[in-house]
Amino acid sequence: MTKVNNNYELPDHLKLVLSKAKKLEWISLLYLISVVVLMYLTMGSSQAMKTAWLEDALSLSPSISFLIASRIYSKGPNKDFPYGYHRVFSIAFLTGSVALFAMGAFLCIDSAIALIMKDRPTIGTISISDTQIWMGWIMIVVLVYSAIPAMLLGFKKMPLAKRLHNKILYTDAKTQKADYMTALAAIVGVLGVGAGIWWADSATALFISLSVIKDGYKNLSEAIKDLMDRHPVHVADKTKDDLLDKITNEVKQWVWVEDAVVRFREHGQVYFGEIYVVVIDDDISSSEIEQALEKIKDFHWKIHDVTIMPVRSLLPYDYTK
Amino acid sequence: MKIKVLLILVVVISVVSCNFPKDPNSTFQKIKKKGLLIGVVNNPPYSIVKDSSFTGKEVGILKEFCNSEDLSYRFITASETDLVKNLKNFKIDIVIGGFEKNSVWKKDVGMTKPYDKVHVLLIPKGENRFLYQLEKYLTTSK
Repeated sequence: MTKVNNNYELPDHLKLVLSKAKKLEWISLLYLISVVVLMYLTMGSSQAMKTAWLEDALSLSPSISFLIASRIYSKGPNKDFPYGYHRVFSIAFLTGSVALFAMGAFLCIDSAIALIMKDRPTIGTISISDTQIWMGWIMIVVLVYSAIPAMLLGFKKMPLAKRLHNKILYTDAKTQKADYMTALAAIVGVLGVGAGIWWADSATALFISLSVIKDGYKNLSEAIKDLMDRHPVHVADKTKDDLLDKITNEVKQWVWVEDAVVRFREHGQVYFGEIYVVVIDDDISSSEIEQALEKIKDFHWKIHDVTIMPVRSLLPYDYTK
Repeated sequence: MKIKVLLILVVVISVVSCNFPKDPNSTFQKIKKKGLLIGVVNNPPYSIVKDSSFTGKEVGILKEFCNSEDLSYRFITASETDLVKNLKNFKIDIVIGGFEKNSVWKKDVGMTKPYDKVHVLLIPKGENRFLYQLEKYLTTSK
């Protein structure tokens, strides 16, 4: 019944999309490591730089967990994991959001303390071939480097994530697209310090940390809702996936079906679920049900694992209310 | 639209950048008017306080710095704790005494980069113009 092999989740055209996404994540990973190293070397005692640095360090996590998860997710089901490994993506998404949220909270407190204690950032100089340069300028150059390639990568990953119905990839792309805001805020902070406004630094750090908390909270809530088996939603706008309504209508049109109710949940990129049907003629053969299963699976690649259950009345199974 | 904003930003930055960084507490401007007030902790050979004469390697560095910047200067001495406290309150401008970059005062004061890979001069936190001038001197005098 179930096609068992090691790479069975995605249809062929999406396998190409996935390998492209993997390539982009590898590029992201290498690029982000370079950013994190450069920022560490230049941040000095600037609170805004520290905040932007930790945020960038943390943004390594979606890339890493995506790359790890994408090696595991399509292993076939076995006796230990009879439902397969699809949910590895949901787990990666959850851990990433917990980390982001916690880091945001830490940075918020850290920056608030710096602000309250009136901690003035001391930013020194660097001499490059006889020219004395204020480190603030170097920080700004590094911040620009941390923003522009990230933005381009984000733009490239976004459409792939939508096609793959992959939340972790989507969130990663969205965060990277918005990363220029962090960099810009940090640049304002550093410029403020240059202008002699000592609190500009910790104030912008506080601002950045609030945006990290906001992102973290949003992702965390999405991740939890997915693992709570809510009605599947689109990755981009979080509206309910109307694929389920389409399936209901399709099933209701079958000649042997009088009425039907469907229920699906997200397992990473794909959906698992049940279809309850009231059959017109009580005499329904198992081969007809198996044919029906095939039909449903061919309906859309996201529909991965389905059970069809003939029942006498839909009342106990009607989850549509 | 975005390009316009960027252009304005570039222009603004390049106009104001000439005198960046500034001191939040205008330390360097004050020094120019009133002279540099140097707190000295006795720690030979970096700074030696004997009767009312001040000598040593770091005293020499600062004297030369003041000459090159055309500043007057004055030395005072007290306990290390008092000097650092006064530095934090902007009562004195700089504290010397063979401090290392991992000094216990690290969190309370600003530091120049080491003039000999180990030893630093202590300045009020965040006075980045003053720091800039000091480090410029330290680099060129090497």
